[in-house]
Amino acid sequence: MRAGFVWILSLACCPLAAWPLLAHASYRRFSLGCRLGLATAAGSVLLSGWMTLLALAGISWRTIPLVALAAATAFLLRFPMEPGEPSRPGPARRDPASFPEKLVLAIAAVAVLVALAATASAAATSPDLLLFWGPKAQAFAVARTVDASLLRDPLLNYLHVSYPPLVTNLYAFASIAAGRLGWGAATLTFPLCLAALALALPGVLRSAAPRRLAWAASALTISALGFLGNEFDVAGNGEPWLWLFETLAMALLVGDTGTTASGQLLAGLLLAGAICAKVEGLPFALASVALFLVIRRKDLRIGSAAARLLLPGGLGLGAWFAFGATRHIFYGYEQYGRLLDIHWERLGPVLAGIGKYLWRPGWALPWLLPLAALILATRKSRLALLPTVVAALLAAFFVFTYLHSPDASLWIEWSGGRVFSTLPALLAIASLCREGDETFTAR
Amino acid sequence: MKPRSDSSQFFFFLVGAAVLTAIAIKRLPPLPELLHAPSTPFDHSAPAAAALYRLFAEAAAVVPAGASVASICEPRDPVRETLLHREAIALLPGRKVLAAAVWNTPTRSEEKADYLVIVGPKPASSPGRLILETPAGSVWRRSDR
Repeated sequence: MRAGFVWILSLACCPLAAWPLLAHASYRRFSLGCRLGLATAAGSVLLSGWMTLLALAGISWRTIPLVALAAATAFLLRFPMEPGEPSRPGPARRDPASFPEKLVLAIAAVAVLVALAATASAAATSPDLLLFWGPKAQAFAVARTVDASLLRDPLLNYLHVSYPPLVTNLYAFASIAAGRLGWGAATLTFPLCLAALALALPGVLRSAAPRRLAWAASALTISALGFLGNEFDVAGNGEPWLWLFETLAMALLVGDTGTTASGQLLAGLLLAGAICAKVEGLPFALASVALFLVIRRKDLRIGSAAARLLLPGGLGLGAWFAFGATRHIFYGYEQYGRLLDIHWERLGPVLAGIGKYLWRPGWALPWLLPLAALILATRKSRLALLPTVVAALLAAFFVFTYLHSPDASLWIEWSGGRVFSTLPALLAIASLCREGDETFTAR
Repeated sequence: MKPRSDSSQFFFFLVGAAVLTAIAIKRLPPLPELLHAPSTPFDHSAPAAAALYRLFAEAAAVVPAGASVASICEPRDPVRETLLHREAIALLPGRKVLAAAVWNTPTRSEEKADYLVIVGPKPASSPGRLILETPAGSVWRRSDR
């Protein structure tokens, strides 16, 4: 029991590591709670990034030096901020929240508590924790590095050796701190990530929409993700981390923070988190950055914006692939078949299978409600295209991937609901993008 | 005064969030089970996996670090033993876990193991000395080691 407490408490090093960055004046527009949530996400990226780099360099992991390295990096990242960037004040609108506004915050809080209750009662645990994430993390913790001998073992290639390392790195970090992997504690990363998202999202969305709408859209997002997490048993899996990174990155990109150096730097770190958390984080990041640069080109210096958004992820993934290549283990992601070897005749069954698994949890309401919010929203701006098209491209990517299997029915049963679970957040964010709402920080 | 579209959008979000949260609450395990600490992380999400988790967790207490161990099932089934090997890799860290089956194909590597974790009923012929028995299976020390 004690090891489990230490395991989960050690993840407090994530916000600690990123606080030197989030304490910068550029981020004081966000509330303390919002910055805490953002620091949790950014700190996990910095910690994991250093773990990968040290593994590449052949240097053993030690918890305190790792936190110190991540915190020093966070401090150094303050310097690329544009000197002229105004240290914007916190939200000027200090009028007390109305009852309906308090109600949406309360609903989001209850959604997090429900996720905690489901997880703590062992009702939301992912089998992949036992078969995939956990064994790798505990071997990495014992080896105090990415265990090349484990990844090289042909009997263990079911562990998806090339899978990006963020989740296993963080679990290994906590396991080193606790002395062993806390299986139950690892499941609590689901409500933990949801809580970090619930803290950060309302504040980040305020830079894109009026306060009441930002808070309400956040509540819908948190409720949908919490519901899907319980239904699809994601506790201990990579999805909660992916939700945290992708949702916050997209919320930053559609807000007025997206046009600032500080906003882009933070979004770049979060996109790096998505890229290094799960394979599908890479198409999300590439599509998001490409569309962002096109849609907001008039507000940006394209080169520097692209660098801030893509360099952290490129560095993280590059270090991981360099590790695989230098140890002769992998030279890129595992293939799910030849790129153009597609079973088009399976399109109908694949779409039917996906529809079945999206319908099962609550009659597809977690997707239909944000979609309806987007369709019903008035005065939609061009910015709404960013999350909407990214969601559509991701959906197409998943279908395209499933079409590589001659019979993907089992694959869809096992993963279909989870991979589509990021879409509700993107649709809810898109529904907030309206003409005339571009600048809300000072409201 | 808020524009009308703002209010309708706000209440749509609010009602949507409330509905999803209400359904999530309804699908939680019953209150007594919520208040009772689970014995494994899989008690409600995968009860079959929970029984195996308990067996391997108890096996970890009797199979010493560094020993070789294989997990098989009775009656023998290479498909199930492929999965059992993966669970043993996760739950018996520090031991040399041998695969009785890989990708649903028997390997016979279990014959080289110091310890056997047998899921299901005890085998007809004893593979060694019984050192642990649970409702889910048993753990044996091979007599010829």
